[in-house]
Amino acid sequence: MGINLPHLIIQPLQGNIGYTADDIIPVHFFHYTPDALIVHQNSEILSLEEFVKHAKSIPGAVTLSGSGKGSANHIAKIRFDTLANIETTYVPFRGTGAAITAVLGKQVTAQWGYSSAGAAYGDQIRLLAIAMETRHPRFPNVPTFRELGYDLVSGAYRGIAVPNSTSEGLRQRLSTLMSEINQDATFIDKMEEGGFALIDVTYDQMDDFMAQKKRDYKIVANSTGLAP
Amino acid sequence: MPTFDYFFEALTPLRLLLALAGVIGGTIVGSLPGLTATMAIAILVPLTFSMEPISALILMGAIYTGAIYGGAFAAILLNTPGTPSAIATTFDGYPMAKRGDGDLAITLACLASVFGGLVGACFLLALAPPLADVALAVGPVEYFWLAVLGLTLIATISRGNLLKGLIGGTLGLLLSCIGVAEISADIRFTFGTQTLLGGIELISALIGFYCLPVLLDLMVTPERHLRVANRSQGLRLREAWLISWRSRWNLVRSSIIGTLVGILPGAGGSIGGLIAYAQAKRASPNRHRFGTGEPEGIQATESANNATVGGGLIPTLVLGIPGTPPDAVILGAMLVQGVQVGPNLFQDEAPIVYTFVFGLLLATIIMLPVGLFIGRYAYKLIVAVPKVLLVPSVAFTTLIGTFAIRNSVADIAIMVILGTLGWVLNRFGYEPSPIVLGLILGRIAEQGFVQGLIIGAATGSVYTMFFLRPLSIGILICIGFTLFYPLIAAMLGFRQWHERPKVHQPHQRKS
Repeated sequence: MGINLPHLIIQPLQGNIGYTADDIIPVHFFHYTPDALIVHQNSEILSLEEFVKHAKSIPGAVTLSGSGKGSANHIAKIRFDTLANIETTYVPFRGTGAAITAVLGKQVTAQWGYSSAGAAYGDQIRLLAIAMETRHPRFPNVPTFRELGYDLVSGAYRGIAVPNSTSEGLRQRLSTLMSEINQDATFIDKMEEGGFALIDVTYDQMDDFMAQKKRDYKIVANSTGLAP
Repeated sequence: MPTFDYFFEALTPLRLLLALAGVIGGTIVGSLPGLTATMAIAILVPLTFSMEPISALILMGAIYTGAIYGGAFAAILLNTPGTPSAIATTFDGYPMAKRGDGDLAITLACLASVFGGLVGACFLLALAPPLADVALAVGPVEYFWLAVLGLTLIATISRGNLLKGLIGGTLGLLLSCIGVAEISADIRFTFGTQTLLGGIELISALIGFYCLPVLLDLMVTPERHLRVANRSQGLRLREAWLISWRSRWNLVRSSIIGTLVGILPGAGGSIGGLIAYAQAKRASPNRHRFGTGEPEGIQATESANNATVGGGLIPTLVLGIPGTPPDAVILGAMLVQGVQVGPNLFQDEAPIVYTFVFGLLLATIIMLPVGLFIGRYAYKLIVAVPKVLLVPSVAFTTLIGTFAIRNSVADIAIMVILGTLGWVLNRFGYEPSPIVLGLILGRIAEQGFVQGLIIGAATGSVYTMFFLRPLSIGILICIGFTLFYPLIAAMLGFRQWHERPKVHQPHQRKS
């Protein structure tokens, strides 16, 4: 079945929801949509530096839309606020579509969304920065957070998982299969065209990857009362 | 500006065939309670991947239009909306069918649907970019006030007892609170079970509240489902044309309302149909007959819900923001096809957009003969089929439909429980519509209220946020007008028409 982070980790932290992250075994993550900070094309805020300056000048009054609470957007907001030492207000919307509508309609200052919005909404919006390790090939002019001095590499990760009764051999085979699809040139083109970032977290790297993510998310969740 | 070259582009045999197939398929799916327009398109999406973009879009548009119209069949013949858009069609459609005018009601619905569809598509063709700005101007606070305005509809749609209507509406609002809260992610009223975590799904509630009581009633009453009229059965097209011509302003007004509601993201045919119904009732000299089989009620709802098709596509194509739930699926399919939606779409991809819109217009026109034909067939079928066959087969499609929405068996249980509750409440004079209205609008209102509160608190003043934005003020005035209309009318010296037949007092209206 398809899975995504951070939901898989955050949701069970929030209370009894009928599964824990241990019931299902991720075998492969094939891509992620990197977090991005997005403003309206006509916004006075032209760069991430200006955004941070603006937020510092009016603590709490900068409003940021995002999809839902406890989501990748929300976590990105919390982490960036800490990194940049700013105070902003998060306004959860129902889904990424509604969150970007709020930016387009100038209901909020900016949106915590994904790089894929840049592909879907083109000139209507401006991406201030993308949370990748290196610049996204589709958006060579948009800096990464790291370049600007904020250590933020994150997003919504998508992969596949199996029930924990699945045999080791099958887990390994699924992971290899997914890796092969990820090498396909047209697939890579399509994904980059759409603003996604490909990764290849195979089954043997999974334990480290999940442990790292769980640590990241738990720190955020506990420090902000996202999880009880 | 669109040129008619694109019109002929849409006229190729293959595209016409796709439009025809789409309308037929959509009408049939829409007429089955529980199977919605959104579902019909979603099932189809994988098939369209192998088509070229224009044909795929025309097919999806045709299915959408057909399904919205098809919802009227079940509404008229079974008193249960085939799709949420047809809620208000039940108010007058079923009473008409009961007195033997089901064939006329269906023909009226078909004419109104085609008219509304054409109006919506024409707005899409001519005014899409400027109208799309409407979708952006409406922020969280405006949604909250619009939902409140929508709740005032309870006064219009509670037949008989207003107090019971209000109690029903409150029950609906409470039901909308169940599950994980939209904004704060708090878990409410789930009584510790995981079943209720996802909240009450609207379609399953709709099926429960409307469909189940009808089925139960059919089982416990011995007489035939619908009376077969003695006079010769036909399309009664002539009669329907005459009625439609007489209420042409109703059709125009309802279609414009439908288009505008369609433009607002999140509000679809159901809300459009209800608002148009309420406005038609307010404006009509026959308002005391609304709810007892008044053709104008059907015309208002059916023209408005089909107008939301064109209206909803406006923000979808111009902004990439789906106007109605089926638009979200269409948008996804367009992205897969590599069609870049956005403000430049109408210039950059003019051939695709305009051929699609003309295709939609053609599909709407095709719906006239197709709709009449299928309508007649459906009417004959439903009237002729014995109850022992009708009840189980409808019950079966409702179960399948309820399950199909989220692939959830729990939804079936919720549907049955709500349906039984609805049946019991119905016996005590509580109608399903206010409850469902509360359920639909509760979420919109809550979301808008909480977001407005957060933004207002962050940016300075909650009061300014809610009461001093120009659009909010406009909506507030509408709310005031709706609530105090009887008082205002009395003060201005309007004659009250309530409960008074019009025949004896012609030309006395002062407005």
